[in-house]
Amino acid sequence: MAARAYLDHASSSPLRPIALEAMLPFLAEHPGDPARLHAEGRVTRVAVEEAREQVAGLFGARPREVVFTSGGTEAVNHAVWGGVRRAGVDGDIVTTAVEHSSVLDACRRERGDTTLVGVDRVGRFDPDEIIGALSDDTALVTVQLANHEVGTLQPVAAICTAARARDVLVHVDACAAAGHVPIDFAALGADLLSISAHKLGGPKGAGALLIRRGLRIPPLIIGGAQERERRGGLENVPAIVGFGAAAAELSTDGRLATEAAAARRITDTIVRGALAAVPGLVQYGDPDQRVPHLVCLGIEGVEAEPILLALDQHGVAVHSGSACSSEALEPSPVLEAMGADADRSLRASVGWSSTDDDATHLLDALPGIVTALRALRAP
Amino acid sequence: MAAQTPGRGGVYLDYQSAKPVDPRVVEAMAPYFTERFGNPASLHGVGDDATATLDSARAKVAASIGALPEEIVFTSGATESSNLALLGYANRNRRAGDHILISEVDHISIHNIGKMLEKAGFRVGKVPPDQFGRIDPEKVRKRITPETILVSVGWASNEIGTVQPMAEIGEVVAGTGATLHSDAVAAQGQLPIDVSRTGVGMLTLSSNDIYGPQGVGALYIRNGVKVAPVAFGGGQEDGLRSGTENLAGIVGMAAAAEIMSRELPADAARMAALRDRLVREVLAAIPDAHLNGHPTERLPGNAHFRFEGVEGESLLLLMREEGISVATGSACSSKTLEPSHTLISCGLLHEEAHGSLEFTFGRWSKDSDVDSVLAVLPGIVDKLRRMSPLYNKH
Repeated sequence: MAARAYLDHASSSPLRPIALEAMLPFLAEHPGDPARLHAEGRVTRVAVEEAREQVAGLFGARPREVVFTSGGTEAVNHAVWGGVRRAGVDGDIVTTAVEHSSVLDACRRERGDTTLVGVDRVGRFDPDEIIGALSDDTALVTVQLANHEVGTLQPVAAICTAARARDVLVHVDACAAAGHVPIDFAALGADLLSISAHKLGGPKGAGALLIRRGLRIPPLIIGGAQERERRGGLENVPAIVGFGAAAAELSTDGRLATEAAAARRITDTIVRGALAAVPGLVQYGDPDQRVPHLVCLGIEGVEAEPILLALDQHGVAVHSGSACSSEALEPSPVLEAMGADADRSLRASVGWSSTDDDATHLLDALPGIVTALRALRAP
Repeated sequence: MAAQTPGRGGVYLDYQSAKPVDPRVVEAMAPYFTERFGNPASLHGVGDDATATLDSARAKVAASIGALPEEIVFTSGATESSNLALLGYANRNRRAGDHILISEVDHISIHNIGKMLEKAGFRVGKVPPDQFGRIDPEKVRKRITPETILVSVGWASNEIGTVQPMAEIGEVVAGTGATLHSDAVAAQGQLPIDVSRTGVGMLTLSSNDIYGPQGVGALYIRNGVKVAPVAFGGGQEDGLRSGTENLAGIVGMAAAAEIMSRELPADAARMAALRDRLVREVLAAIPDAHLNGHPTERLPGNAHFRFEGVEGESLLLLMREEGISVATGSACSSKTLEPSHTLISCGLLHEEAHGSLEFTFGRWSKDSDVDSVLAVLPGIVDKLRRMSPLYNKH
């Protein structure tokens, strides 16, 4: 049987070999608590700080601006929880209808009157509409850098500038984009930015919240003095080291640009090939201004679930809706906000290990599956 | 720098702060880093495989403490577990009362969470220990009021090694309407822990403390105990802990739990023999040396000494020069150099607390580690005392 085509990197990417190699010694040989003064503690402290520099380097941040977390969800929750408390005002949170569920749920916990700004047909929000929604007592603005389901890149820079000018804290959820497009935290001007390690080929169980220099927000996870008192709990040293190694690889020899170009080529092949071979198929999201590694297709007249299962039997892994709601297969709130058919989307996403053969594998299987499923529905 | 591998390089006697991952655990995790990397929430085959793995890991961790699989929530570590237990429980059960009891000798993270609960409007009482760091169940009983919703007592002290009478404390809390939480991290892998025999409603568990990977932990929540989530998102872990599951880490914790259950009696006996020899010979060889904590009710891997007239920090640095890694104070406070709150609660003066040194044994500790300590420690203490104005007063 041919190798499987894994086209679901946006849910979780396999670990980069260089990251695994960096991690193994810290699993097997270096047990030290980085806060300790002894030799073992020094080894892990140096490793964590090196990883901090590597992550900071990839995202244009200062090392001290990097707070390691257990993942993207924790980073997002920390940003929303801590940002609102730091602001100390009773006003609303301004966000958008197409944010990841972790952002929306964290906002709803804080504020019943969270303002949700809508999007256009490709899932993009209008920066002017968000800026217009700000008031003097707005507690926080939280916007995504790119959409996790349809890939559309968002105009966040203008929002950061306007929010900073009005002294409103702004959080950027970069989990879907990080590692796939260049991100410069300093130039962007955000106060807070969330990153997930496993979506760029780092390990699961690690992420980072970038906190702009000079800004102090209370910690979400309370414990000891780790992470300069911004995140309690013994550092997950192996995962942090793996995250650093993955970031360093992306920073070296133009690797991010090379991988992005390959991702663009493969996803373009998927879109072009699918549109040509399957009638009644549309692309959701901005076909051009999108993250290079992710495309979303709508298939007229067939539910997503049977396609997903049939593709899986053919050795192709894709996704529908957002990763977290796929078990329930509820209609996607992102597609609903775009005015698209929320029940019939397929998301194909690639990553560092993807090849052109993965696209071929999908394109070989998809037309027959759609034809067969449509035939079942014929009267 | 050369790896200071326990059992291979220098003498590592700081198992309490962080433990090496058992090679058998690394082996169990390896496939999940590479070929089996799916997200359990995805519908495709890779995701199905991940879901089955997650279920099996949950069952193994549950079995290791006598719990049911659905009573285990995986987290990013013990600190997050305790946040979820205390903050999540208090927020969910606020209408039942506003009083919470913790122990004075609990881990620093529990104390810091207590401060957060006070900010949120709860009243947080602290139960003092006796001079050995032990919590008397009667003192708990006297402090429970009709408004008490939660009692949190660590199973054993991570610093001085004193083991608490958890079964008796469980009996005291039972029937009062309050729920008992215990941070069991220090006791894991050293004492048998069976939630079905103790009456705890919630139990904080760490993976690294049973030689699993860092960055994973679990919270046991007895069926019927209601907890609100602390972090929100994709609804993983039955809505209590959102975020893509750290599958490799969870598999590692499960493998570590299986090994622990099998090897605990032998591990504990070996550590106790090393500890007993160290305590006996240190107290015999060094004058004005004392054992902190309880003489008998203590963790098999813990020996915590106090040397009059000597700074623990200086001891630690001189021991480091000899290639021996030990600890002073608690893992979380060694950066701040403040005296340990646990020792102060046991009635020690600041200068007495500062003269403390903690040795903790683990799975790869051996007789030659004790030999190495005994070969240098008496000389180091003597050298420091000769420079110490405090000791000259004697």
